Amino acid sequence: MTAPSGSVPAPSSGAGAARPVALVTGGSRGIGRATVTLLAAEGWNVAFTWRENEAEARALAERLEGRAVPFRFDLRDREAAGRLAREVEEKVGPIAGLVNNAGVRRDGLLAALPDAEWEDLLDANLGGVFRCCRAVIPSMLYRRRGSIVNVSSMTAVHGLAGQTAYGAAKAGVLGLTRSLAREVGSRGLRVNAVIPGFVPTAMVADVPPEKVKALRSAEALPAGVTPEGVAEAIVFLLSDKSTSITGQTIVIDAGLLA
Amino acid sequence: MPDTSAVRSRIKTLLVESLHLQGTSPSDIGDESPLFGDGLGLDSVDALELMVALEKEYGIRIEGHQVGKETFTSISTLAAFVQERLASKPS
Repeated sequence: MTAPSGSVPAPSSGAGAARPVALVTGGSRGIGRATVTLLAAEGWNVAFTWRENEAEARALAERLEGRAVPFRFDLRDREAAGRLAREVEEKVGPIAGLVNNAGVRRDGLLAALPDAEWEDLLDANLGGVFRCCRAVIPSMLYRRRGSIVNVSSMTAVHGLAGQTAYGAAKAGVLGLTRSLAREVGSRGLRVNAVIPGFVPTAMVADVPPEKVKALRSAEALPAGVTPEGVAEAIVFLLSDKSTSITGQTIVIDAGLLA
Repeated sequence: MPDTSAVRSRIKTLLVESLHLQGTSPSDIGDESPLFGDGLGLDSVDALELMVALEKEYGIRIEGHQVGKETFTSISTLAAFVQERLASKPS
């Protein structure tokens, strides 16, 4: 059987086989790091970005012995996504997979939210995804090969007080995902999203324990959600195991919304 | 720098090859015939693909969101755009 022209070939670690290249934004910690690690293990060459955690990024790259290359990147820099895509293509290879994982979370009640804070959260979490997609899509279209996974958030579908801006941006990511899937589907490119449930990462380290307990009490699976569990879904959507899936969202929440 | 007719002719070939146009040969495409709509029937996704092909062919950089739709009116407007970029390319 011939694979659809736009699919990413099954990665192989065999000698001589070209490893497809994935770009993961926000790859030095949490879900991003788990995704980078799993992609490398599954036969991909990975470019990943970091903004603040240079030491962690370098340690990860070292641990993965050349299968992952770190790049400094700031989601909010309007010129950075295009520059990043070009650098990755030059240094690592043509990008076949993009994981928009980087994000910025800060909470604040809407009634007290300054305009600048609203704009910054929208621009980083939604604008950043838009710019990264725009940077990689022309080349993916040209090669008729590519899969994009956008990391949304539980707050896109389940309201949380204090997250109107973050939640609006993450809900926007789901809308972007569906429409972009329609724009590029004719060339075999796929665009999907994941919604991680409550994952104990540095990003949510400031959430008060009682709030964590309340959130987690709704989970059906006592083990909860791990970064690795989310990474499994992301890698599935990036790979050719999901060639018939586009415009969809997978919720990885240990049954919280069930 | 390649002359206008060489650029036009090369773009016609790239168009047919990179967009996998079935049943069209480069010589079928007129310099002034419209690329979109009733002409060759290209769409905006085709235009993005063609931009990448031009980047690779001529070693120029084209940001999709910085290129006006009028650039893709015809082979002659595209060729003029490529020549302009080649002229301003740092050597």
